[in-house]
Amino acid sequence: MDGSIVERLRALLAGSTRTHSVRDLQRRGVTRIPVLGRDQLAALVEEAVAATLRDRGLLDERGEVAAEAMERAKGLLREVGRLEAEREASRRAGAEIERRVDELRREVFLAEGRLREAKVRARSDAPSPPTTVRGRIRELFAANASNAPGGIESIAAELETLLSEEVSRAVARARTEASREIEDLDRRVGRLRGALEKAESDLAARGQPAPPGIASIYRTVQGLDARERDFSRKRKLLERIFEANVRLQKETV
Amino acid sequence: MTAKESAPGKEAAGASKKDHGVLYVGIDLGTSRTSIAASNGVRETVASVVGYPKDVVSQKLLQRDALFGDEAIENRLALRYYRPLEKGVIKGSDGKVLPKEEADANLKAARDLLRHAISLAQPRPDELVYGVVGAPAQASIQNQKMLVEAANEVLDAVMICSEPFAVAYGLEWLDDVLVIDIGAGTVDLCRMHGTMPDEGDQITLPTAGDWVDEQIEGLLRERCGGAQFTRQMVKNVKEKHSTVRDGGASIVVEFPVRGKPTSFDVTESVREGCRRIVPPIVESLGELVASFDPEFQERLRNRVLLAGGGSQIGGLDRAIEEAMRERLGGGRVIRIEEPVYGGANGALKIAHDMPPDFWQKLV
Ligand SMILES: Nc1ncnc2c1ncn2[C@@H]1O[C@H](COP(=O)(O)OP(=O)(O)O)[C@@H](O)[C@H]1O
Ligand SMILES: [Mg+2]
Repeated sequence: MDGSIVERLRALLAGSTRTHSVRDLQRRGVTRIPVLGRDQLAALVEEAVAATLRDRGLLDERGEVAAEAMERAKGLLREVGRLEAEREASRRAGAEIERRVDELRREVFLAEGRLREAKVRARSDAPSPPTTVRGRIRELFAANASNAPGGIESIAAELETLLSEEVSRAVARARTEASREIEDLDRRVGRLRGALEKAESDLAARGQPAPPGIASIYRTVQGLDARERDFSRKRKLLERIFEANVRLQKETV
Repeated sequence: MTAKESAPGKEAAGASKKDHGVLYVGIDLGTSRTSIAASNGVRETVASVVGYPKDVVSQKLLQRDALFGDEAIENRLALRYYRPLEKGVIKGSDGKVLPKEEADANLKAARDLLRHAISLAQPRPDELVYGVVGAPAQASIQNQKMLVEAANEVLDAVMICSEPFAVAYGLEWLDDVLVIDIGAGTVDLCRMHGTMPDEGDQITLPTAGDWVDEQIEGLLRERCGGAQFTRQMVKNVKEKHSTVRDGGASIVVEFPVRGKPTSFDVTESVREGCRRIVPPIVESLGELVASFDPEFQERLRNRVLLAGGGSQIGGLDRAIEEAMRERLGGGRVIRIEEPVYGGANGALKIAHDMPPDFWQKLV
């Protein structure tokens, strides 16, 4: 055990002992007193402290601070290190999930846009039913069939049936194609939404504080992609909007 | 993101500096509803009303400096209450002289409404917010200036564009399109071709949503003797059951008669009131088609887009087509997928497509 502790015990004892004269004691009728030397006392205290340490497994038989205790302390340090690394990894994983949430959100957003456009296209692309076919055919025949007046009506009716069958087949084909595309997109949006929900709940389950606001799917200013449909036409329209706004801003300031 | 951008020093500074990303927003600042669509996937809509607590007591009770939308409507008795837009523009900006105080209060309300709409999109504090705001096609330069003024403070950069253009652009219909936007106060018809629409490309009708409410109300007063109801109740019935179709389920509602809830079949009145919106629209479509380049008239007739809250009347697209067939010899009408967000979605697309150097010059 550390020698300085024994020293300090001695000093402590020296400071806290009282002295009584023998005559004084005699007057009080004390004839015998048990004597315990200061050194003895210090030894006893030392012994008690060592026993306690030993009980707690911190001191080996030779009175050294136990190697085991050292090990345990080192182990604890290692544990702290490990936990810190884990926390860092978890933070990184959290950021990764957050990134994934952003990414999914972007995909959902884009897929929904495509879905909207496809739905509109599906309705606008389907050819109109031939309401005026009969009239056109009648015109046609009237123009160059003056010699067969009775037959025109029946020929026209027949042709119309034929044509309208053809058209409705074409309409049906266009519809199936469009609806297949819509179904695909619908499914895709559904799947993405599912994935997004899961990722968002993962993020929430990590107990990470909700980010302040919802991040845009864009990190930088975008602008029309040159590969887009009708690029130059759109670009021209955007330019016109921009110019009008520059004028507006000038007048507002 | 580049390595440079993600350097730790820069990241830390990013909390206050806006260098993290760019959030695009498209806003439809409507007379009755304000809608926003943003590039973080958020879409929100709020009734275009703003209220400020009348006095300290109300302020304590409501615990807010300003209330918006339905919340403002519910508490309107305790509020200084504003509908800052009229016929699609900020009140007081349309040449009608309002007392200065009132005009200022409206502008403030419009600005607060815009700010609220943007907050609904939940932008991150470290992101730039670039917005395109739709203005009615007929908005004057003065109107547009007011809009810019209101938006300048709440957005990092802003552009105004014509609302029907935004609707059409959002669906990638760039040319020869007729947009019918049925709002609360006005039906705006706009012909889009080549350049931006000008005066002759537009017709504005007062026979819109509010007018339909009025029509239905008139019919109900005639037919439901003793029933007690308000215009607002009629509007609710319309928004729930509106249709121009024949057949279908009967519409039965309860109105109190001398305090006692009583059932009324209002099917005919709702249908008739809704149908009255069709003739003026088709009349105007006819005018816009007839004054168009004859070579492209047929194409135009077949490219009619129906948008706005009022376009949700059941069967309206088909009913307009039918009337077009009779009056114009044919036509095709397509109701847009999301009538409430048509303008906002389109404005968002414009914001996104706008080249970076254009934005740069406006920030
Ligand atoms: N389901 C519905 N059926 C018919 N009309 C509707 C329906 N929902 C909303 N409306 C009407 O749409 C109008 C508002 O349209 P909106 O485009 O939001 O207006 P604004 O552009 O004027 O702000 C109101 O008259 C409202 O009653
Ligand atoms: Mg509108």
